[in-house]
Amino acid sequence: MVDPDSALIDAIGRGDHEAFESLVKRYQCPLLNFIARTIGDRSMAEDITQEVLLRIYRAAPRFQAKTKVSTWIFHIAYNQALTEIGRRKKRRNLWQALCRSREEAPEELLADPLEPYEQTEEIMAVLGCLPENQKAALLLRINENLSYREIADILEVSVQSVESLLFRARTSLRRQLKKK
Amino acid sequence: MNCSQITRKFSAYMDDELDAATSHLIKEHLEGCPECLEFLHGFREVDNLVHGLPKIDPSGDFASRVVSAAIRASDVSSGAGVPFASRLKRAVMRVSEAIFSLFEPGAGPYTRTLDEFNDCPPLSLSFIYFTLLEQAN
Ligand SMILES: [Zn+2]
Repeated sequence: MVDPDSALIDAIGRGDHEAFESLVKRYQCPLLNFIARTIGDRSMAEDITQEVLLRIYRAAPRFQAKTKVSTWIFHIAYNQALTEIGRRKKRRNLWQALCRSREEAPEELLADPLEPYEQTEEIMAVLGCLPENQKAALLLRINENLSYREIADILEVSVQSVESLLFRARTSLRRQLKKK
Repeated sequence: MNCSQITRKFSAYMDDELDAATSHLIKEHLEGCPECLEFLHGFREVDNLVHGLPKIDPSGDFASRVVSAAIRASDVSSGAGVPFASRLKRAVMRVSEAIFSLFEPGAGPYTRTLDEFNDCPPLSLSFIYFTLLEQAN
C-alpha cells in the first residue's frame, strides 16, 4: 500500500515549501489535539506542535520509509510531549498530588454502568491523571484510529504492551467516571 | 474462558485486534453474560466520551507562521556554509547602511545631521563610509 504522505515528505526533503505547507495543514489539528491532551495543557501545545513540524521539516531529507509517515510524525510528537511532561514533573504541582490520590483508588471492576453527568470536564480531569503512555495510546487509538502495530511503533513498545496500556487506560477511566 | 479472562480481552476485542476464533468466543460469552456486556458497555462509553471531547483548533495564522519559521530556518542554515569573515562583513555593512540611511534627505522624522556624531572617534564614520563605497563599486 502506498503511503499518501511519502510524496509530500520527498518534496519537503527537496526544499518544496508548498509541500511543507500542505503537510502542516494536514497535521496541525491532529498534532495539536494529541499534544494538548497528552501534556494536559492547551497553552503550550501550539508551541510544541510548531517545534514538531519544524523537526519534520529539518528531518525530511533523511526520512526512510521504514514506517508510515504518520507513525513517524506522531513518534516525534510523542517524544516532544514527553520532554515537556518531564519539564513539568520537575516543577511538581498541586495537580499531580491530586492525581496520585486518584490513582490509588480501590478497584471495582464489575459494577454499575456510567451515569450521564458533567462529562466533558470530568473526562478531561480523569484523562489528565492517566500515565502518559496510557493516555497517548488511548488518544492515538480513539482519535487517530491507529492500529496496535502503529501505536507500538510510535510509543516504541511491543504490540502486547499497547494492548495492556489500552486495557488499563479504559479500565481506569471507566472506574473513575463511574464513581462520580 | 471465565468472566475475568474475557474482560481482559475487551479492549482488543473492541479495537478489532483479536484473531477470529477469540473474537467469536467473546461474542458467544457476551450473549449469555449481562455483567460482561455491562463491562464492555462501560468501555465503549469511555471511548465515546474521549472521542467527544471538544477539539482544539490552532490559531488562524498557525500554518503560515510555521511555514515562515521553516523558511527562515532554512535560509539561516544555507548561510552557514558562508565563511565567518564574509558573514561578519555582510552584517557590518548592513548596520552601516542603516546608519547612513539616517542622513538621506527626505528619510522622514528620523533624519539626523552629522553634528550629533561629534563625539565619535575622529575618522571612524568616514572609514565606514568609504568602506561602504568600496563595497558598492
Ligand atoms: Zn461474563
